[in-house]
Amino acid sequence: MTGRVSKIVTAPIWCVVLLLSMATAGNAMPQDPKAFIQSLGNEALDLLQQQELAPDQRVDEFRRLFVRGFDVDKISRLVLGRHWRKATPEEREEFRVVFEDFIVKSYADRLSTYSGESFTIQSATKRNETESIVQSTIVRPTGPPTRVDWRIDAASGEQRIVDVAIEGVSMLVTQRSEFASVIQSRGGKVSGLIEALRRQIDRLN
Amino acid sequence: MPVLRPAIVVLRISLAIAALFALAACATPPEDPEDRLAWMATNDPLEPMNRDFFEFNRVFDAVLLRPVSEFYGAAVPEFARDRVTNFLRNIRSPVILANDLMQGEFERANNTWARFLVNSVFGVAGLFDVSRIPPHDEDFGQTLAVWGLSEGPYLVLPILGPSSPRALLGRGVDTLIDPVTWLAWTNDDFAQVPLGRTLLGGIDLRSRNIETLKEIEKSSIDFYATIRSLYRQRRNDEIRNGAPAPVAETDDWLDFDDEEFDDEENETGDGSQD
Repeated sequence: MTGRVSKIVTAPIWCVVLLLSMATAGNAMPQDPKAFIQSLGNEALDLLQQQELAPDQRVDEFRRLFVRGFDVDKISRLVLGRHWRKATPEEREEFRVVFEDFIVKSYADRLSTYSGESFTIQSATKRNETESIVQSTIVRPTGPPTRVDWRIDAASGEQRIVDVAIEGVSMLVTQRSEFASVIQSRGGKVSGLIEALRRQIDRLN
Repeated sequence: MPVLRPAIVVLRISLAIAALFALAACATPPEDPEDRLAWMATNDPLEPMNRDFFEFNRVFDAVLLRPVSEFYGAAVPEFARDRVTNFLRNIRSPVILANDLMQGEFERANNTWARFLVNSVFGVAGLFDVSRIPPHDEDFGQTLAVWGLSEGPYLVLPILGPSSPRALLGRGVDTLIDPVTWLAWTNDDFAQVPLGRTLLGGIDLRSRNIETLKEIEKSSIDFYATIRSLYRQRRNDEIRNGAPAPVAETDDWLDFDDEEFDDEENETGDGSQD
C-alpha cells in the first residue's frame, strides 16, 4: 500500500474543523464565499484548541453542524449520481438519512487530532451562477502546507458547502466512485448500498 | 557482465507485464448501455485480478510492511527519519530534473537544480534541506501524461500497489535514466543500492501514512474502490502540478440527476479519466 495518499490525511480533520466552527458562527453567515470560509476557519481553530466535549456530545454536535454547514440534500443527489434517478422516492429519503449518519459516525471521533494548524484563504473563483470555489491552505507546524478547496453553493439562498478537495482529491468524487462500486456489486440496487452503509454504521457504533 | 544487466532487467519487466495481462481474468462489460458507459469511465477491466492483488497487498502490509514501518517510526528518532526523507528526495533530483525539462517546465527545472546543488553542497549531501525552495516531484509517467498519452486501465501491482500501464512504463524509464542505476550497474560495490533505496523509501513512506490509511480504511465500505479513486485523483493533481481540476473532471455528466442535468449537461469526463 505505497500509494500516493499522504496528504489526504487532513481531509476529514478539516471537514470536522469547519463543522465545529459553525457552533459559534451563529445565524448570520457572511455572503461572500471567502469571508464565509475565513470566519469559519478562524472560529474552528479557536474551538479546536479547547477540547472539552464528551464523545457522545461530540457526535450530536457534529451532526447538527454537518446538517447546517453542508448542503446534505444536494450532496446526497450528487454522491449517488446516475443511481439517484433510478432510486425510488423511499430509497432517496432512506439514503439521505443513512448517508448523513454514515458521515457523522465516520468522522465525529477525529475531532481530537488537532495539532497546531493554521489556515489561510487564497482566492475565490466563480464555478457557475450559484457555486464558487474557495482555495485555502492549511499550514502545519511541520511539513509542507496542504491545499484545501471548498466548493460552495448559494442556490438555496444560504451558502453551503457541497464538496471539499484536499490536494486535488475531492471527497465527493471519491465517495461517488466508492458508492457506485458498491451498488454495482449488489446487482445495481441502491437498497444494497443503503444496507452496506447501515452495516458500516453498526460497526462504528 | 554489467553491460548485459539493463537488457536483462528490461526483459524481466516486459515478461512480468505480459504475465500480468495473460493472468488477468477480464471482467465482461455490462449489457445495459448506461452501465456500459459507467464501466468504461471506471476503466478497470482487470478489476477481478486487481482486487486479488489488492487483497494480497493488504496481507503483505499487515504481516510485514506495516509492522516494519511502525517499528521504524517508533525506534528511529524523528530527526533521523527526516534526514532519511531528505536524503532520498535529494538523490532523486536528477530524475525529477530530467522530467521537468522534458515537460518544458523550466522554472520548476531551475528550482530542482538549485535545490539539488544547495542541498548537496551545504546540506551535507542532502541530509538537510537548506535551500528554502519548496520541493516537488516528477516522474516519467507524468511526463508521458503531459505529452498526451492516456493512462490505460487501472492496475494494482503486487507490493507496489496502485498503478497504470503509463505509470509503470514511466517507472521503468525513470530507473533507466537514474544515475543511481548507472552507478549500480557499473560498480559492483553499489549493486544493491537501488534495491536498498526502494525498500527504505517504501518504509519511510508507509511510516508517515500509518494513521492516514487506517482512517481511510475505517470510513470506507469498499476500500478497493476508494483507493482507486484516491490514487487517480492524486495522480491527476500531480500531473497538473496542483492546478485546479477542470470542472469537467469533478462532475461526471453520467452522474447528474434530473434537476442538475439542465445546467450541467455539457460537462463531460470524470475524476478517473486521464
